[in-house]
Amino acid sequence: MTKNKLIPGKYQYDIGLDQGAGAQLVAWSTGLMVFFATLALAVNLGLNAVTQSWVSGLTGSLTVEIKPPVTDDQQSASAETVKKVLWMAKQHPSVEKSRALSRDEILGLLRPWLGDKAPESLPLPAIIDIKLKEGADTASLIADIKKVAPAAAVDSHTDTLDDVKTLVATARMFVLLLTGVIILLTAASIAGIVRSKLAIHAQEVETLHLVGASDEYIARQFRHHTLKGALKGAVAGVICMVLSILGVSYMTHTIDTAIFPHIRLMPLEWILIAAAPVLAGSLIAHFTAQRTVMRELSRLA
Amino acid sequence: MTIVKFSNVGMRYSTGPEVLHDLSFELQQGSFHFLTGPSGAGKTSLLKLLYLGQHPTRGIINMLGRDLSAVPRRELPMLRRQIGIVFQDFRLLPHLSAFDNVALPLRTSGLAEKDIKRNVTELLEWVGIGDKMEARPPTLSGGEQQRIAIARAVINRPKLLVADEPTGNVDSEIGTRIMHLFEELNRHGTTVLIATHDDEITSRFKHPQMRLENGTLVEGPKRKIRAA
Repeated sequence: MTKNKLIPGKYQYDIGLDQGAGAQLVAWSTGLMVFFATLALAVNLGLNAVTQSWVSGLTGSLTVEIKPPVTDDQQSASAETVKKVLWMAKQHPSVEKSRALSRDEILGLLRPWLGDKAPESLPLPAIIDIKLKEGADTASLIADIKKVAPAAAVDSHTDTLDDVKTLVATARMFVLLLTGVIILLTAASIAGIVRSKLAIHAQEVETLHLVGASDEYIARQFRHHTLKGALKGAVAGVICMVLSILGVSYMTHTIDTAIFPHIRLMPLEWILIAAAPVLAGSLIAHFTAQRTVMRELSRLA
Repeated sequence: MTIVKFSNVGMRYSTGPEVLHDLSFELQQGSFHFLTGPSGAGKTSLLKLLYLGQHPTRGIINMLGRDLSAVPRRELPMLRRQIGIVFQDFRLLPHLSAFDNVALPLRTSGLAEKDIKRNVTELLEWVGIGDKMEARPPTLSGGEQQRIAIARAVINRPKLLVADEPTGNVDSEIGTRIMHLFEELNRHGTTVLIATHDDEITSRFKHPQMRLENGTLVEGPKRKIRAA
């Protein structure tokens, strides 16, 4: 393997690895795998951001629901209970702030199910939104609420939070598994390409052996060629994926963010998305090529 | 000093019939032999054993002071670098220039590029290809390719040179020049073995012959063997 005399930075291999159809197979294969690996990494980081957004929205708050009044007596009792809960919450050391939702706000929450034409006579529960302080004693607060409003339903969102965490953990596990499969597929396809190149160039390899080349000398050429192809493919794969992410992000920025918040990646995360698959793809290609060539050559006479 | 010693060597390809039977002979340092015999006698198979391109199926080969059955794979390149080979089909790498083809044995030995340039240029000029150093083999004539193959075989100043029909593709003038090159190398101590069909060459250049018939050595160095 020598430096090309005509093109600076380009190497000329003793084996015709740059010749003929299939010379760019490693680049294509690695590019495709890196594209999907980058997608998996982006999904993982995105899930992280979504989880944080969901969890921060659900933790640190309590919702108190007081049953809707049916009679006039119940109407005044309900209003009284709301006042008591708000007053108690104001005094409580765990509460940052609390407020009762207006009828319009409650109707707004029901709009997805009832539409804009909910009847005026519809009995609505009273809902109190309580924001908790950092490190709040939720159990003692719930007990105190139950003292002033025994019939109130208090939702600390624990069940929802647990469901969200389970869902995200499962999704992340799946993405991790997918990444593992991508890595294995990359290694297997590169090993296959290297083996077929060894078969195609068998006579050149034999000639090199007979003029005194060691297995390492031959493996170095395959390693260098594979690494070069993998780097080219990986960079192209990452660029395509990043452009795809930006494109999808641009096209979906108008979607309602109540359920799926907009994912904003930190600069470090962008660097990770760009660098990790390229580095991983290149290292896998490099070591797979070396191992495959050395193993195949050791089988020769 | 014995460069090559065969003791009861036999060889077969895969599960086929034995193509070489009970070969026993020695080649001394600085000797020059022709390997003759009819087509299919086993000349190329014997050369493959000599340039470590095949393993014998039986018997012992001692080469350059080493018992080949005891040489680990990692040490084979060192041994091969002391053997120059001229293949019948040249075995030049088609995408490399004439210069790079001849430089191969030096590069595999790890020689510095400036030394490679000097040695290869000098040798290519000597074999008359000095003006075609950057040409690729497919663009050259058979005779020119043969001279490149010969230059590649001798660039490392090998202790043993084996050549399979080295004058087969060249006219008699070039053939004579090639033979003089081999004799020059031989005078500097290289042991030479040339497989040939060319009676003119064997009669013009008076060197002892090893004759193979049906995979058996019927005439060879150190002893005369009567055909069975």
